[in-house]
Amino acid sequence: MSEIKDFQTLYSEIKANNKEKINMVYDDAKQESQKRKKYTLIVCLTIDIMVILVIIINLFSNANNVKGNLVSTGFPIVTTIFSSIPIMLTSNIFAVVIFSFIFNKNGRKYKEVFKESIVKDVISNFYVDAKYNPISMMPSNIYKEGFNEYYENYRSDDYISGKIDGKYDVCMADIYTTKTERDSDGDNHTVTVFSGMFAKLELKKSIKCNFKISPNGYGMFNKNRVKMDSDEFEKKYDVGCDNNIIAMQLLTHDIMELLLDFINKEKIRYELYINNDILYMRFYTGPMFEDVSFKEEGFDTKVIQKYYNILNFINNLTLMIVNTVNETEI
Amino acid sequence: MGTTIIIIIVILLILTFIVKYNKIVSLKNKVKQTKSGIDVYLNQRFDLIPNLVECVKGYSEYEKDTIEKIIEMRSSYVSNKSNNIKDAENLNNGLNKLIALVENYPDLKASEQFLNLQKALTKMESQLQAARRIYNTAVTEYNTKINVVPNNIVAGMFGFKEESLFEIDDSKRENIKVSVK
Repeated sequence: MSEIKDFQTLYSEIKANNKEKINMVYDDAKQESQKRKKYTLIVCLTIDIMVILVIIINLFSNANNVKGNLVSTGFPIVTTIFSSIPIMLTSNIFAVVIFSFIFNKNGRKYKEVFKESIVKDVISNFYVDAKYNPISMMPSNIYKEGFNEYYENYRSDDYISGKIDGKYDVCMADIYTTKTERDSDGDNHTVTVFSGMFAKLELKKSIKCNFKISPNGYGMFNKNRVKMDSDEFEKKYDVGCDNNIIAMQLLTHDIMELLLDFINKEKIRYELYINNDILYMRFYTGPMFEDVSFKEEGFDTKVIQKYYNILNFINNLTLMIVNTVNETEI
Repeated sequence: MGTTIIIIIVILLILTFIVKYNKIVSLKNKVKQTKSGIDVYLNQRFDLIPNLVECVKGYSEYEKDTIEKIIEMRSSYVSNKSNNIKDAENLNNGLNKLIALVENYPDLKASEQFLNLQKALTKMESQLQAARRIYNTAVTEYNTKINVVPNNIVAGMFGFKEESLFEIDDSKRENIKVSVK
């Protein structure tokens, strides 16, 4: 397995390898986005002006029909203005939705090319035999193995598989789960249960316990809560394990430092669960590549950096856990 | 009316007092429990000493003094049923010295018996380290509890004293000098 490149080196290589391809689709997507904004603005303004003109014409007609002063027409003026606002709002929203639908082809193409070129390169930096399919989904039973919570709808894409260090199988995907909740008024609402990246890693070393790390406050009712010997760690995380000796053996000071470093820098909420020889992780990132922006350039550095940092973290954490288990004969 | 309020306040104070006392007692018991956890792992480690001694004896007669000293320390530790962590640490240091001696005997180092022993010792050392960390966490929690207001009032009344943390041996605090020949 070749050495893992740092972000700047990898980013320069990705840019060099994909510059023309990405810039072409990016320019098309950006032009399309600008066109969409232009047409949406024109249509919305036109509708709004027309509605205002109709209001004015109606008001003057009313004023002419009613013989008297404008005060007697005051109430109809107010109601007419206020009733026209929803009309304008609805028509504007309608225009935005329609034009987003019409002028989206190049935007979708840009995201596809972005995923296929850039994401593939980033994954290959970390995993041997890396495979990536933007439209493949992870089976829900794999997700449920790690985080068995209630949801009604399950969606997944951006399926990745590979091996860390050429030895430890990893598979990951974007997951989106929702459920229906009833509020106090009796109305049903769709609520997101989880949206983000989920990863399953085979450690090939049985740890013989259920071990979980949650962000602080999310595991506090766990009866197997283990108090760690680091105040800073306790502030950020809750640790649960049915064997507190194994929990302490696993969470060496180096591993705790890695976990703290990640959450302090990236500010991404995540959870970790080890069951025998499998490590499950999930990151509350939202969909990873749906928010690629057109603001700067074809290579959205922020998104690539975020993705790189998450994969780097998973890679380092897996290797550290495996080394710890090997060294200490857990 | 005034009397009722006073009675309620007194009852509340008594209840608070009881709750705080019980919490301190439970933390103290947790400290004792974690301390005995360390003893358990130390004993498990020391139970390997006879096996290690047999292993080393077979390969060298030159380390007789060291071996005899270790056997003596272990017998003393077991027969006295000492709860002193310091005594256990001394025996542990002796054991580590014996393991270090093996570096002088490549044949012994490569022997299957020794390798299995070494694996078991490494595992126990790791468990021991974890047990010490758990002990230190329990002691810190207990010491904090008995020192903060108003728990310190309850602690003072019933004679709860601070427990000592598990600390590194003074000799290990000194800088290690590495000489390359």
